[in-house]
Amino acid sequence: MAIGTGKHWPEGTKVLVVEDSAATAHLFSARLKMEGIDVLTARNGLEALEVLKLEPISIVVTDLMMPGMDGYRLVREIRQMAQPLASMPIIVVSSNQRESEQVRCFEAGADEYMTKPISLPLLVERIYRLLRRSNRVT
Amino acid sequence: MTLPTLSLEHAVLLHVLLWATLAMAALLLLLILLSAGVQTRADRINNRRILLFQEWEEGLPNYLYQGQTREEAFGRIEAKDLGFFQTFLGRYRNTLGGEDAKRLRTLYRDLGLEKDLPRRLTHRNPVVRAQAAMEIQSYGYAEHLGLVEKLLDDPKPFVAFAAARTLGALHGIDYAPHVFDWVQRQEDYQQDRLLELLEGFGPDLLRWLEMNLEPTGSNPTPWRLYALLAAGMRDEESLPTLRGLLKVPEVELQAAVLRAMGALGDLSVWEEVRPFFHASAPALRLHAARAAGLLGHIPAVDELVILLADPVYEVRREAGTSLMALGNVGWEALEWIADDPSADRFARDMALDRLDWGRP
Repeated sequence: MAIGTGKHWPEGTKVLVVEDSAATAHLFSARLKMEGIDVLTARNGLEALEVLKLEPISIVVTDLMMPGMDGYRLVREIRQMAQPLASMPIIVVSSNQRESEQVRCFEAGADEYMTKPISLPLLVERIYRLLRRSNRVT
Repeated sequence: MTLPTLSLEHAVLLHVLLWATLAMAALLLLLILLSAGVQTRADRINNRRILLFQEWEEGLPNYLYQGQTREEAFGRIEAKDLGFFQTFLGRYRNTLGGEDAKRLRTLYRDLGLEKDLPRRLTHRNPVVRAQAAMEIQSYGYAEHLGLVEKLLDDPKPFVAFAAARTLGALHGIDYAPHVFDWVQRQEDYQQDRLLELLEGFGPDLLRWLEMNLEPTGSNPTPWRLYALLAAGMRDEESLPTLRGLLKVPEVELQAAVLRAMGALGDLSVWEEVRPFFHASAPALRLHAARAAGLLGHIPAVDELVILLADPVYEVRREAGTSLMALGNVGWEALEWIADDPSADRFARDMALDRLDWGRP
């Protein structure tokens, strides 16, 4: 049962959280699940690409610094995939506050860049807005 | 058959050897039992920690987002588990912001975890010292900054780094000179990365440096950091000082000043930047080219076109990138060179490269 913000999330909304810290991934998932939406997690970009091939994902929320494949490369890889995956909304969440790093992510194809520390209700709001902008929420 | 008889000396020696062997075996057994005990205890503690963390992980979202009290969300936290809980909270310290961070801070305070901070800042384990410094940053205990400052001289670099970051993040301007000295003591390649810590002090640090640094002639290094900080903070008030620094004949200092002038984006510096297009040091030509692009000064096209044929690749690439930053005029110049078979080969290759890179 959804006990979050009371937003109208369409049936089948599924968020992929890519985060190497298990604690952070768990907290993100728990907060998003309160909205009544499905959440999948991956520990790095490589795992995320595997999930994207198998599951219908609505939006990706990814960390930047991860072992294996980092968030920056993940964004680039997604943008080079076939449609509709290539136009998948992507939010990068990173503790790197440098302007150059943010520009780099946007150039790679990220839709949003949020710097840690972040407020999770704000993340939920951004996810909802981004899905709505990309017509994935009615 | 008769058994050989032992002499008294041999019998004593045999006894000694026998008892020594027994003593060694007993000692070995004791050591094995002791290490097994230590390992069992460590495993038990670890298992308990894992179990507690799993329970608390489930409780945290309820505490943060569903208005549950501490007791409801986490159950009763025993005094012996407070250290675990501190570590548990530490995992979210740098992740959660806004109202979430405030709730986390309340939790930290309610349990009285901050009372232990002074002791932990001087703990013999460097990891504990670094964690205490980071907690002071995250939870905003500015009253302990004096103790944090002492950690700048810690023999472990990661402890000193945590201390510098905390002092910067909490804007402890009184401690800024010490942090600035600490950054200067680091390797050159590290200094640029550490500027981010100094930026935490804000423009007040730049004003302090203007008043207190030795004249540039004796040591240009701190002034180089000053210029890079002015660039990072986009501090317009630094411009008069930067103008003076640009006249000091030190390549690294002048390169940093050119970088700052570009970052500030004040076109009034153009005539001072211009001579550096013809400097003998490639670093100066490179930064002059970059500044031209950042300043967006259209008449810089001519100078940038000349640098497209520079013998140094990085300078050519910067000139090409800056031409693109100038908009239509720069793009037209690149296209003109790319289409001109009589143009310098270096310039033409770079023009083609930049056009290829910049096209959507």
